[in-house]
Amino acid sequence: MSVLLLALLVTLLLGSGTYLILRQHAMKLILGLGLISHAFNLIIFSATGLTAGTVPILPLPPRKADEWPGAGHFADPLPHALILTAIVIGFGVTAYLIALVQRLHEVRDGTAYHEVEHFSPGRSGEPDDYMYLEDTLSEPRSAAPGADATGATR
Amino acid sequence: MTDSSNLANLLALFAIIPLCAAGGSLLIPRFQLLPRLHTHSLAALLAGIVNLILALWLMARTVQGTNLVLHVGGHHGPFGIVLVADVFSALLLLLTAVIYLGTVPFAIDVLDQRDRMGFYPLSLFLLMGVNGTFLAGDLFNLYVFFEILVITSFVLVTLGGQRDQIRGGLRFVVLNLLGSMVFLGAVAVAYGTLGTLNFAHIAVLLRQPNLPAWLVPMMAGLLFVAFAGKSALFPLHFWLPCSYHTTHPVVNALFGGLLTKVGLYSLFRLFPLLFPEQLAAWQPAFLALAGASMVVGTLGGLSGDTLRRALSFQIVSHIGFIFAGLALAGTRNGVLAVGLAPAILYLAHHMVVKTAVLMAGGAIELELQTGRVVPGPDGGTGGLLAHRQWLAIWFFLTALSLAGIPPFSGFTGKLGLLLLMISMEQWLLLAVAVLSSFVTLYMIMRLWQGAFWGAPPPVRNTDGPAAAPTRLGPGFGMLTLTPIAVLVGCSLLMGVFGESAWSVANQAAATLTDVEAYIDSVALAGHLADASH
Repeated sequence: MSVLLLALLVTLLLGSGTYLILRQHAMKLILGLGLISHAFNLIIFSATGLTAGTVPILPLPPRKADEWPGAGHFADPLPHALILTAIVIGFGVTAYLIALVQRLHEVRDGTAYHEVEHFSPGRSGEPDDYMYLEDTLSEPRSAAPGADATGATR
Repeated sequence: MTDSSNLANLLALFAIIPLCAAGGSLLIPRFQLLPRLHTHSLAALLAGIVNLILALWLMARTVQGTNLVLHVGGHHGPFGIVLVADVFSALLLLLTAVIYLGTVPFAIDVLDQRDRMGFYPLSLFLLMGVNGTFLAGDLFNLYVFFEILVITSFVLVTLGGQRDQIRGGLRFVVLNLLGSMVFLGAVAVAYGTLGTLNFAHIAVLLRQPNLPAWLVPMMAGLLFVAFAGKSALFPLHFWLPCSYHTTHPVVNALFGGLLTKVGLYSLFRLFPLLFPEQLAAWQPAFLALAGASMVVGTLGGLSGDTLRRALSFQIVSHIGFIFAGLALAGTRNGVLAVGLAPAILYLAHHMVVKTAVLMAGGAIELELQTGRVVPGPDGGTGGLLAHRQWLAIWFFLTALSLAGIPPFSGFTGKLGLLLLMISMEQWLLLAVAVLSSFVTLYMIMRLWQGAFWGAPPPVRNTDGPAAAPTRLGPGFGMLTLTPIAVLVGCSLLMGVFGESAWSVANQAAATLTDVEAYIDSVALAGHLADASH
């Protein structure tokens, strides 16, 4: 039963994550990626089946062989370790993505980021901007009103 | 033959050396030692040299037929972490070491503020991730090393924080992240059904008679999607052309040589080992994807409006060539080593030459301060031939190798692939491959003409004195030209001594297809046999 619930939860997370990613909006994109990564974490979590009411520690060897509770009676610790790694990686990448969107906001000179980042191919930036990094950073950002940080050097 | 003696401990150095160099240079404040050398670049240079020596040693050992296996911490597989090095791994480690060491002097020569933004430590982390991927002996460590290299590349692709970089970088990050999650799904399926992640152990367990019918197609499919995304195979290639050209030329050269090849390596490693039947069953689809990659990459390269955009997009077509070799190798009777060998040769050629051509292209762009070399309505500067003869020569030679003109390495690799297509009677694919080679030649000659003939660049600063318009960029020197020349030399050697290169590629292909030897080398002294019960 709980496996079914977990499967439904994974479906829900994947579905809403996919929906959010397709929204053409930077913040929703990040949230959607977060949901999807949690969906995959849950998939790993449930991969070896759910063992209720016990810890992922093998009990001490019993004195008599017939007292051995059996391998099925303790939770498999490996998926936990895998998820832990995946969560840490996902956390770091999410933080980095937020920093990226923040930077995108900065280089757009004060435009709120939910107004600018639409993933339409027609609105690509000026070509060759990237070649002028040397000039860009030495120039004060507010020097040329109307021109953005990269365009000012052209 | 397997060697898991103390010498195998040296395998860990492939991860430890870049890690220590990167960590050390982040901990110690960066200070200048020589006019062009500071602690970061020195650390990168030294780590690169040590890495190259290690890779040469490993190549020399494995080419004699010895697989090196390190059971980390003395915990044997499949429970412990296993690092495995065979000829294929060693070959790719060697190429990685050569490429990395080649880009470091280039970076010392031409890098701008990104120098202070931590380019060198990041590149060392990238090296660590790439090295680890080539050595990983189980799915989860493959995932972890993949993440190390992918996250580093996230930072490298946006290093500098320009608008175009962020725009391209966001797509790069999102698509690679989704690929990683699909990979994680494959890990979950493997562990949930088989209870193991070790490659050799999975290979053993997949032979059981009463497995569910969906298991192998599902695992193979998930892993294929994950790695096809990482290796920029059509139709999962579109993160590459929107991000590569926005980076600094140094980063672009490093990415062009290393990044997508890791995905290809994983496909080459896992499909012959775990899913040989799927390789044959899905061959038509794989061949179609390979052909589409060739077409898309070539046409994308042709339509690229700047030099590095064209050269970067063209990577996709090479990925198609290499993947075609893998797809053709799968037959009903198992994976053919003779099929994999030309693809491996082409992979080696591609890594070396793509780095060289992206370095040369980057040098041209830095010199002209623009990549718009092709004459057209909105651009077309050039005229570098007058004062950059050596660059013209090196770019020309890399271009010849890229297009597959003898005596360069592109010829032997491409010839092998074309002969393979003929022997498999894949005429459509053959036609596509030949045509895309010609279009590549046309594209690259057009770029060369635009950059080196063409009109001299206009004077940018119209207010100042009109003097000295010939050298607009920050310029570059021997530190840029020498690595390009060395890489061109490598390509030439691989072409001239094609027989030896061919035999190494054959040997690498044989290790990939010899599943038993791989399983034996990992499962020492019956550990695996005990564990599978």
